Amino acid sequence: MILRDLFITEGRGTTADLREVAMDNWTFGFTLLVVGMGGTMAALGALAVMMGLLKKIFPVKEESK
Amino acid sequence: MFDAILNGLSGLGAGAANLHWSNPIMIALGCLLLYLGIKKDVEPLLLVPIGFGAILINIPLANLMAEEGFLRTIYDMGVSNELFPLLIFIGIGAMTDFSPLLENPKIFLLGAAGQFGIFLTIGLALLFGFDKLDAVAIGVIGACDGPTAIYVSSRYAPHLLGAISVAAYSYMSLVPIIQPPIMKFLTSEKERQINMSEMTTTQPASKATRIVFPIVVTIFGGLIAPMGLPLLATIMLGNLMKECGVVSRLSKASENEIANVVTLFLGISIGATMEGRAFLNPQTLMIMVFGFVAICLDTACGVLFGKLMCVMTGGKVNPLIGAAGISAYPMAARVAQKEGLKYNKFNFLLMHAVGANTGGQVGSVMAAAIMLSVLKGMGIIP
Repeated sequence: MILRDLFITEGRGTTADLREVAMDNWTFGFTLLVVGMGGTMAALGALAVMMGLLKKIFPVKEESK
Repeated sequence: MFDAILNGLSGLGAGAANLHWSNPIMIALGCLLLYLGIKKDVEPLLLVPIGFGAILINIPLANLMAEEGFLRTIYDMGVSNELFPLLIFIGIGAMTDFSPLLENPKIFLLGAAGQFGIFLTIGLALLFGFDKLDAVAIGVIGACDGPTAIYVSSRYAPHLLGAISVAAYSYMSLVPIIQPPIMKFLTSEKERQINMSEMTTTQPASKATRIVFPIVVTIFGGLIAPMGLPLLATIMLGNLMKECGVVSRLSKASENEIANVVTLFLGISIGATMEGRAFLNPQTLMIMVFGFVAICLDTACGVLFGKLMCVMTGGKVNPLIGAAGISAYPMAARVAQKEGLKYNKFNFLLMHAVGANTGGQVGSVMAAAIMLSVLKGMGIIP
């Protein structure tokens, strides 16, 4: 079982099914705006948190020792 | 015999006789790009081969982009399959020092805000009737990142590749002219004077952190946006080679020999897409306008987010560094530093701005990767 199966229950469409759905420009533009901007901000925010953690895991002091 | 001589002479003038009205204009445009590159030092590494390629392709009957033409061979070798931009990314990764960003990871968020222009411009292009994938390719000019724009347009809107590449590189070089008025308009004099030298930053990043950083970004980015993994992976591979210190030969080759050869091939084959009949149309003009709008919106969103960070940190962040959250490295960081110095001659924003600027580099690639994955999720691309 792959991780995706946890999120897709029976009867729900997969991305492959969505290809059949015609999408108007408004829906397309709005979706990209929300998911794209939100996704970029969330992804870089998560990376910022990870970098903070990495710096705690690999501090400079240990290196100098 | 006289007829044979006449036929021979007519063969010599065949090129001139077959000139379309658009060809001389494009040859002049090619010369202008050469002038800007050679005389004005505007992105010469790209504009010189692009300009020369544009001249070559507008000389009739040479068939350089025909099936076995040498420009077609180069184009097929690395542009149509997106290889060249990815090879350039390895070089960019090897040249980039992410230390200022790692010292203050919160600045990553400015690199995200600096990409909002991409998505806003896509919306505008859609409003003006562009096809979905064309709009996406145009919006990516807002990444202020030539290789990303070339990667996306060569894959999803190859007919717009020439116009998008020229717009991306032209506006990147015009960042020092485009950004300052927007920065000034959106900030108060008090905000521009904020001194960041006292801002408490966390410790500098250790070598181990700098080595793990590209690996984490690749795995994390790849998992959430697999469609953009080639973009992320190549820039991070270059950076890993630089930081690990054990493959300096590969790192140096990536940032010098490989990047140089690929830049030449990439430039000349982009120029080869600028054939007059295909290039000179209202669409190209609109792409140039949208490219300009995209970069203005990036700057505005970056500065506005910088203002938000300023409020949230109790006035410790100078909003000017928000403008550096784009990928135009290091021009955008220099602009922020220069503008900051204008209003407070003891204010050195450079390291903070460089952090935001490198955040913008990761941000532009991440934004493109996320966008491609969203497009795939929506079923727009296979």
